[in-house]
Amino acid sequence: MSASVTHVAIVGGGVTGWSAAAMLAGRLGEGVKFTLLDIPEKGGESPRCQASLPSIRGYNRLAGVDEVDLVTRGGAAYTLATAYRNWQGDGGDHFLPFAAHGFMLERRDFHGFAAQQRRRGDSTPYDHYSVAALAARQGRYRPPSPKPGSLFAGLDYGLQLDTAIYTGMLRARALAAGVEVVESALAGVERNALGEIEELCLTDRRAPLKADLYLDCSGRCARLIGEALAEPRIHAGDCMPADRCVSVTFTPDRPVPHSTLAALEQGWIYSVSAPTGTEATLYFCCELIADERALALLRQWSGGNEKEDGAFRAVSPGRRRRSWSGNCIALGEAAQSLDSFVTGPLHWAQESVVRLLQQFPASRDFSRSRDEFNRRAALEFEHRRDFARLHAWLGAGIDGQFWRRAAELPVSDALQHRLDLFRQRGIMPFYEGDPMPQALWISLLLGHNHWPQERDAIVAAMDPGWIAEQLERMRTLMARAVASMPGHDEYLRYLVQSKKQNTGT
Amino acid sequence: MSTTDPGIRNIVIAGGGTAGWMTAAAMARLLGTERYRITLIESSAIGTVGVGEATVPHLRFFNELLGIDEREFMRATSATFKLGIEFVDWGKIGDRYIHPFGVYGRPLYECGFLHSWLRGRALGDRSSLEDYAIGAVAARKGRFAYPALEESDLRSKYSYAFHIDANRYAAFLKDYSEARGVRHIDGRIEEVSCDSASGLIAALKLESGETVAGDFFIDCSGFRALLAEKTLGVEFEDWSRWLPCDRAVAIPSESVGEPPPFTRATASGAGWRWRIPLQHRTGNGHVYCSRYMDDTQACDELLAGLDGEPLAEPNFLRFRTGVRAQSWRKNCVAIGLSGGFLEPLESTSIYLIQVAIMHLIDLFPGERIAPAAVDEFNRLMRTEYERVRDFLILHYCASERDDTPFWNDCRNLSLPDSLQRKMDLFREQGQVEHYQKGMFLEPSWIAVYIGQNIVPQRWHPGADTPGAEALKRQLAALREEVAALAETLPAHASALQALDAAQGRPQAWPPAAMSLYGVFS
Repeated sequence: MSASVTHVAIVGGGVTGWSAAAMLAGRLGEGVKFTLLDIPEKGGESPRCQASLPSIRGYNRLAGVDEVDLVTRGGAAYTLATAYRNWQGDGGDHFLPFAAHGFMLERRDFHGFAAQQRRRGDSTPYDHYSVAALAARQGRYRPPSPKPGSLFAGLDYGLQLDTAIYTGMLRARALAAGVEVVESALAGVERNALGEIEELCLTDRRAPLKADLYLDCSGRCARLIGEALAEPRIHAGDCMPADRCVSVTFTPDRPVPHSTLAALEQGWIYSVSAPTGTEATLYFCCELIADERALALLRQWSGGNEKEDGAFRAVSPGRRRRSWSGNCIALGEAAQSLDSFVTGPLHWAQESVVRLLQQFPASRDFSRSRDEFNRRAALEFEHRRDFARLHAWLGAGIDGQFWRRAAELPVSDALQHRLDLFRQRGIMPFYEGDPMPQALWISLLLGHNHWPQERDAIVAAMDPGWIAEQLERMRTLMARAVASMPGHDEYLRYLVQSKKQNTGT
Repeated sequence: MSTTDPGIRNIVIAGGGTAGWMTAAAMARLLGTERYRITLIESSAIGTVGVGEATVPHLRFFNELLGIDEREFMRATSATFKLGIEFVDWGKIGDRYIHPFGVYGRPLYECGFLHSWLRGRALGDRSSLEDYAIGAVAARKGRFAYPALEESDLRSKYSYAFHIDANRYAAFLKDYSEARGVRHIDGRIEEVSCDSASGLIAALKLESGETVAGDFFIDCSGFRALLAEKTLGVEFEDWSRWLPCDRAVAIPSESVGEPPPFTRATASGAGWRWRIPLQHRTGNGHVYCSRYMDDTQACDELLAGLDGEPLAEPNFLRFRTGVRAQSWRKNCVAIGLSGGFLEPLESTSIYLIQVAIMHLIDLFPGERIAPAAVDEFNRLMRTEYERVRDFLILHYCASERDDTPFWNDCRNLSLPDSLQRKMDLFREQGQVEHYQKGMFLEPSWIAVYIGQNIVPQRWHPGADTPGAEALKRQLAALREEVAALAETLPAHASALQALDAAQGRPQAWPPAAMSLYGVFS
């Protein structure tokens, strides 16, 4: 039997590296030792603020990061939805929550009833059937209710994080779990006869770092999997026509409980609001507008009170053919990057850490676990790519060259099938390995008024009067419930206050 | 809605039996006979195969969807409870294991209970994995109670199904359907006519001379696939290179003693024999491969293995394993044997009928047949069939038997890539390939892998946390807890008697789920 995996080297001291360190060292017990080489995670997109999906709560629980502590230190605000602005070019907006809208009726999904009601001339926007979407729109927040049946029970939330504060907390958890830190730089990578990593050479005349597995968390520059192992990168630039982006940070009047995706004629803006500030990024195509024009557009959008100058970066979506190659596993942007929609790079980095935790090899004999890890990573990426491409499709009604280019990009068979089945029949097909919840695909289409052409046969057989009553009741109850919720900023202040009282400071 | 609405209103089901009447009942309930005209044509002169007398827990969900009283259903079908399937002589002659409708233990650490068990085994703990599955322990003890509804209770970690008389189930659903307005025509279909321009099926002409026109047709004609194959020419994809059994002989026998709450599948020299205990009789059969065993030998072995006296003459069946390349083409959907056949080793026949019906109703056309809906139905059904297929092949290829040419060939089968990959992954360190859709998920794969002696030598490092002695103590405590809880369940026979006493009283059975493992698994 081959040797056990007892020592893991993590290369990269950014949010990806510390996420991996806190989770893996915390969950794998004493049999595996972790050493983190604290070099910067860089070379690509490394946002100051990151919006996560609700799954980050489970991640934090497992990694030992206390959520209330994180929020009261100013490391995170809540998010209930993504605000989509102007994706049909008419200045309209739509709030996309994380959970499904409405309630099931007679065991049928809610959206079939909304579609039926729509056919009968009711023009209620789809997001009026979601407590989370309504609350996000009004800037309100409260935690979900543990009582099943409560209108607040499905109030699924994610976090908008200050990357630096969050990384600090992950680091503290990792150190508490026994992760050893090496403060040095990477001078080179020695490979063995099989082409795998033999050891990492460090600067400052330090002894080489030798491990059973090497986690490349060095960001898009991919010091191990790219520079040292030359694992090919498959480009995925054909889901959106953006090749460049610029970010600014500014202080809004108050932190809003949602992230924002705003379409402009020249591209789109993704904005995330941590308590310490809001970061907005404009994605554009450098052939179509100059950098100065892009920055001016972004400043105009953000209100002109930015704290920091714009930082420009190249955008180049793609993934490693294999994110686990030999004894090296790339996590986060060393493995893949794709434009942020609904959530950002941190979420995908943490998803890959969870996948690694589930498949963590006991021994050096790990070729099947590696194949499975890579199979799942590739599947996940393909669906994310379709989700990004769907945005190009949604924006096709906007004037301008950027969106005309977007409309001409190729559509995968799977995405075409999703669009056909949904538009013809109002059903979203399920795909194994799709990381985006069904509810997000559905509300993205319905929120932008892509209502199905055909009715659901079962819903059509029901009494239309009864359906209208049920929906009216839902709307009324939801509107009333949302009105009783505190403001998001009010709730954040309340948390800080009660923490102070509890600790007696 | 006005009746002048154009579109699909007239549904014709060609064939009765389990598939035909399940389809008719579900459509009557969910689509309604006010809006749709539903006609079922069944000839009393043609016998039904009466597939699958052993069911899986998903059937409870189907009944619940139809608003059927579970006790009434059990009385009408002479049902007994079923907690799983016992496999005898599969890994090696003399081996036996239960594939329970439920999960193993409770996770002691992050990585799942299997890994703690694997480590315990390497440390010298010789307990069987089955000792940690309350469904399996209760089955062995001949006990049954409804699963608990409290998630923290280990007694919530199993589910149950039934052994039923499938012909009586069809008759029960026939009454149900007719009461809800389904029109039944007793007649033999002589000719199928198609619209020459569109190629759509237009009408069925009966032996009596009557013509039944329709907008949409369901082919429940069994192996003959009268509409799908004979009329529309949809090809059949043969899977016998992986599942070579092609014959079966069935015979009912007298019940002997109390009915056990599980199905038994005993491997033979060239196939396997089933034993399905109903309230009033036991169903028996032998599935075999004609290349390795002739009818006489198969029948003799079946008769020799009966628990009680035979109640009828043996009934011989021939089949071909495989799937219809497209179950839905034009305005016709093949459901049941016309759509595909997989041997009933894991009681999947009624399940495959049920999911076809549920997907069809979800995708049922309103005004027109949407091409994307047809593609989606075919995509979903192919996934269901392929996943069941791979799971069935596992029983044959994961065997050490070398006593007959049949088993020698099974051991050396060239497997579908989708299965080879899963087995290689499991062997490496006990990891089950993850997927969400399909009947058999992680606990089932574990049951068969371990039951047939594929025991990985490595486990997830997350299971290494407690000290050796602490782990052994935890395993022993869990085993005792499971055994003690199983002891609290009443005998299966008294659970059945209690049903009669409870007829007409309010619902006592737990809610159903589209899962093999219960509401909380």
